[in-house]
Amino acid sequence: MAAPAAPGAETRPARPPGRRRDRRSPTTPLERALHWGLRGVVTLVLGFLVTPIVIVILESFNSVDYLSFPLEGWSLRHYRQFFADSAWVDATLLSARIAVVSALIATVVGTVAAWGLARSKSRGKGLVFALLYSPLLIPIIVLAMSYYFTFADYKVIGQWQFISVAYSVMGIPYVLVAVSNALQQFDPELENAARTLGAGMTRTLLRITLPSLTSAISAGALFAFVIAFDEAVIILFVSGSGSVTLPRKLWDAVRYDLTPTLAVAGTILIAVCVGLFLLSELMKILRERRERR
Amino acid sequence: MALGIPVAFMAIVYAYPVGAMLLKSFTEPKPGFGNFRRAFTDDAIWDVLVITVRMSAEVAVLTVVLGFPVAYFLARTSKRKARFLVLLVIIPFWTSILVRSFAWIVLLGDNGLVTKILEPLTGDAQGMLYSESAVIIAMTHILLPFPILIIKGTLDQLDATLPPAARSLGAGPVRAFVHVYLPLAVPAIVSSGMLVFVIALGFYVTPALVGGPKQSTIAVVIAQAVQVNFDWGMAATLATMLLVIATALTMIVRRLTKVKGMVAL
Repeated sequence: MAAPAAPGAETRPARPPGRRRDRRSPTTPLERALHWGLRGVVTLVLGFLVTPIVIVILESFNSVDYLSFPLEGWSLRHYRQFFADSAWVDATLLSARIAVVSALIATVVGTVAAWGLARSKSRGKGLVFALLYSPLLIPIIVLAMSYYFTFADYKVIGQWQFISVAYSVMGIPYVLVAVSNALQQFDPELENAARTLGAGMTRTLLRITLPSLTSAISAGALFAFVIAFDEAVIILFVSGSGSVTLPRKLWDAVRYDLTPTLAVAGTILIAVCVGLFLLSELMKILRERRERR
Repeated sequence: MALGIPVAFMAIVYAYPVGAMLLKSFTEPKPGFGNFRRAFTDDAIWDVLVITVRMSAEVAVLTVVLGFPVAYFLARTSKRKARFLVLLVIIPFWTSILVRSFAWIVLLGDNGLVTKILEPLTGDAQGMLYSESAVIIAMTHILLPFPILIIKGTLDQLDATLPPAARSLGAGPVRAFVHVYLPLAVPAIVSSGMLVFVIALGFYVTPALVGGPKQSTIAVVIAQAVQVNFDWGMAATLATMLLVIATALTMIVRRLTKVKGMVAL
């Protein structure tokens, strides 16, 4: 980078020669064999993890109407088809709308809860945390049944507002954990100082506490968004005919016929979720860099 | 005070639906333990339970066996390399389970890449889709990031000077690993395996899409009870059983180890 070297860069003692080598370089033949064996296994396993994702993305660019590998040729026609089909586009937009609303709810509830838990001295704290955290641990099919029965009882199946609320429950644990971790680093004396200097409770919260939690809150919100955008089990029971989200539409289509258009839908799901994840990583790296300066 | 809002919210939109579902297993269609009696005396349900437990156990063992070497490598390689390689674990982790199951349909289907590669070996052009192997492969793929990230988290904290210390005292590389390094990793290995087992027990999308009728897991049967048989009582009963088992196992895992926070990131 063109930036002037950080102070201290020159004063750092030079690395003793050979230090890098003797850190863990294998010496005996047995060790060398083990080392390369390990590398081989790791390469295979990582390949196993990544290949299916790469295949979905590649298939979406296939030039023929059926799935084939290797590809018959490259084209964007399935993307054109996807975006020309209002059913797919509506499903994508609905997923986005549900995900935004549920991420908003999860972020507000999760942040308030984290703040309340950090300030609370009551003995019921652990129980409250367990309640807010447990949606992460209970099998999704159990949640799906719970919402299906309740939605059916109250005749709200297919209403996206209720689906958003149900999804927010699954996002809350992520927000809670992210914000709680940040609050642990936050010095409560700062709040007290602001209060003694005459700031009111609201003002203190808005000007002192919240700004130092921004990155944690946005990370939690991102998680909550992805959870809701991706969700593919509960929706199978509560979507009715009115709320066909992208995963729901993909599910129906997969059972009906396998075409590269499905790979387009899959690629969009991958792109949105992985893109948001990389964004949050990037923000983290940038912040670390700023703090180091 | 600030806790009132979240607690009220969770009570209404979470505890109430789950509670109502649990209640239905005792009240639908008529009050009593009829549903549970029906479930426990039904051979088909027992078969499903056996299949679910067996497949979950196989997946748990496979993910740990495949995941440990990766975690070990990631924990010992340079920081920069680890940061990049961890991305290769996390990107699949962030990809929707539905999309990953779809990917395996493509790979294992009639014209799929895996089928084509294996064809000269097996002489089978059919592909292994809709079989137990297919479900196991896909579920292993989906759950593999958990053990990798959890075990790596533990190995990162281990004292890196222990194996060299053992070596300098005369232990060979294998001995140093088996007697010094491995025992320290056992809690993380066991707890991540159990975690995978618990998550696998409740899997729905993958067995439903990649498996055939013989790979019906308990979740698949729950969905069928609702969607095909309109038998709410049985669906609620099986879901209650699944919830009880999953909760009990999760609590055991948490007791055994202090792996905090399943937000594995």
